[in-house]
Amino acid sequence: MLHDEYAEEDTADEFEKSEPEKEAENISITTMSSTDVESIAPLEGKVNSLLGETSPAATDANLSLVKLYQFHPERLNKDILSKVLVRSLMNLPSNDLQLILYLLPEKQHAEEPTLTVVRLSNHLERAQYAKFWEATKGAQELLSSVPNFHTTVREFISSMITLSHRTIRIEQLEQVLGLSKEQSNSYIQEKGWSNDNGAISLGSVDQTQTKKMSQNVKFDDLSRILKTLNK
Amino acid sequence: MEYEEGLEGDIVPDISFPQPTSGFVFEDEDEENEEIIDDEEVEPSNEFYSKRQESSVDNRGRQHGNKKGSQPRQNKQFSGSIPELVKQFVTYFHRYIQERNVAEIQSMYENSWNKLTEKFFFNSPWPSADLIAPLVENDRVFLMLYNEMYYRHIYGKMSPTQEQRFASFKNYCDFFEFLLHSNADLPLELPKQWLWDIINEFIYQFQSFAAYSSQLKNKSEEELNNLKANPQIWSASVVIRYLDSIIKKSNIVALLEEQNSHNVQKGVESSNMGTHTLFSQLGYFSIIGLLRIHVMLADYHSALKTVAPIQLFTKGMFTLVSACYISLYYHVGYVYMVTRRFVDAIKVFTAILLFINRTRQYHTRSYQYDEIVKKNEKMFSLLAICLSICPQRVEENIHTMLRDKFSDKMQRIQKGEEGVIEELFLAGCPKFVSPCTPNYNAPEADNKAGHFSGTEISRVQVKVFVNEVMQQTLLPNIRSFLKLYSTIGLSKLAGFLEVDQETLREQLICYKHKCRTLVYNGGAPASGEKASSSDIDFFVDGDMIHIIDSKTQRRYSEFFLRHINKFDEIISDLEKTGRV
Repeated sequence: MLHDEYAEEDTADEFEKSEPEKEAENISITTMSSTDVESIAPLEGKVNSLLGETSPAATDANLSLVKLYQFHPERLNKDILSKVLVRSLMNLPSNDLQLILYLLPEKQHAEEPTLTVVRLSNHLERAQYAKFWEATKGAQELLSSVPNFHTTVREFISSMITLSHRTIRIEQLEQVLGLSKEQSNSYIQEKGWSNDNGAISLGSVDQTQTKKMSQNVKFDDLSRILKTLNK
Repeated sequence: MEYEEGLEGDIVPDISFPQPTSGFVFEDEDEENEEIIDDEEVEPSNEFYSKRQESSVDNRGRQHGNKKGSQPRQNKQFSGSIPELVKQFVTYFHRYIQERNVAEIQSMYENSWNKLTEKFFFNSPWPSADLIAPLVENDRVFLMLYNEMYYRHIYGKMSPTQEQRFASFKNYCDFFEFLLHSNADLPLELPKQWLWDIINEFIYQFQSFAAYSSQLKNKSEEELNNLKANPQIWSASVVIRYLDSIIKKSNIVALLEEQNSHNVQKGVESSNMGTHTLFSQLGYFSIIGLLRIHVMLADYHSALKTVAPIQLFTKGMFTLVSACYISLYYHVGYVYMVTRRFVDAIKVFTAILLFINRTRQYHTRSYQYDEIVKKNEKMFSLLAICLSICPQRVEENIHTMLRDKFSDKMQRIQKGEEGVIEELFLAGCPKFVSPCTPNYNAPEADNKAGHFSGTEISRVQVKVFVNEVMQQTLLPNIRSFLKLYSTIGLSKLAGFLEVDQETLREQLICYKHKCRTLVYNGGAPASGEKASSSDIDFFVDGDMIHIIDSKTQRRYSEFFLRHINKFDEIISDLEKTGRV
């Protein structure tokens, strides 16, 4: 009897009749929402086409898709999910992967490819780059599903090194960037770094002077004592 | 729709009820109403008890009744005749709503309703809408509003039955549909507080339904069939769509953006915005409601995107309703925390905790006091996590309160104790809700263990968050060493930390990586500037670490301000006693 009552959900019609102008008609509950099952297929197409990009639009599309999977777990497409996961690593230092993981059901957390991607991400987040490159060797098939994976991640690592180092030994650089001797030489040239007997100057960081953190007194705080000063 | 006609014809000019200045007051009533409360049905049936237990999960702290009520609550239809006083209340309430007398509506909504509840309906429902319909000429809009309060009262004081849950949902839908199909000249105005409560309660009941429907034990065949047949009732998609539609209809996003671009910092009073006050206010609150829904679903990206038109740390409309202010800051702060923007999380939590602390006296009188106290506790737990990961100076009162309560736990987090992080996180996190309908055909055990329950989502949140925190537990330690030196060799520091040199190098890079976060700098809450959250900076040159000194000046101003105020108070106290 309850559902009968609910079946006539469209009591709204009643209102419509008494409203002469129906300007509000187009705004209604029937508006297509981002949680509809019908949005999955087009969004999967979009995710695939934006796979090579790291733009905010691509991030939005990826997260919306994972959210749709959350609403409709039976429609989860593992192939696409694994691409989305791998691509999120390429968007470091942004926390795309973290945002996706929060949305994934527990079952996915305990399965491949999530396990591998999380392992790789932990190495990258903890700056264990040598271990990261080692681990990629076992996951070639997964990682090759997205173009430019290695190059993009190498760029991220390179930026972290420049941020933290002024000079670094070439052997260490090769290790963190996952490059062979020959590769590293051309990489160093490409970046315009200088090699001084194996000590690579990264030509970054020039901020030796003391940073001063000054304190600001807000007017609101002062207003509290103005009364006192007035006496 | 009879509402418009009703407005013209029905304002009775002189009513015999003596009207004091403050409108409806109920204190001066006599004893004759006592008989109405019939004690016959005090003895509860077994069925009633089982219901109460299952629903204890979603009990809010908001009812104060628990302590006093030794008498079991009876969630039965109101029977008997309506007390005279309640009749008068309803009549006046109706009249003020028709007159759009917001001040009187507010007073009746906040005070009279609660007082009458305590007197007559402490543990039983108010008279149902069809009983009071004759008193208000069947005014449909009034009855929807009455129903909103009627069901909210049941949710707050008793455990709602399935029928009531369904009916309450239908009432919200009817009300929202009615608004969505109305024009800008809708003759209806309600106090902001009530509008906020409508949105907030809508979401609360959604959350409560999710908890209710995931417990399949204790449900009769008929109840299960009803659930199966009505998957759309209280479904996440429908709830989100209603909030979305209200936001669109109210045009509030465009209005706020326009205001932001003009940089008008005065309160967002919508009357001068050329649209309907009720719509823009309801739209505004729906934005914050939607933020809360997204957080419940663990979609933090959408959560921050939703509140894009709202600027934090300004005197926006959210400051006009305390509960809304607190809800906005709690949820935004939480999202900042789980998306590793610890500096912002600390700033947001500190701001709102200070606000609560400063306005404490006022809140004790509010009917939302319990809710506020709960949020306050939650935010202290979360702030303790943030500050152990990202140590920094906070306002002194907050610092003292944290030290008293959490200093031990904060130290244990810094030592990398996962259990403590988990404990504080669970104490402070919001409730999570699964967007999927439970599988009503499966036994309960399956639903619990496997698929998509709120508790599963919350386990996932803990897992991902703890993993993130564990990646950086060593960092505060490194920081404390770096603060002591201007240069130090890698090998020496590695020795102090008892790790090898390469691990230290990794940790240093990690430090740089983790400290570079977005920091909010006005504008949309999702935006920010890339900045270092740390108070020290360094670079590695070969095998040497060079620390870039940064001096934080002590906050003398705060100290002086505090003491000036203190002395001022002492002096005025002394003056009062006439000793100076």
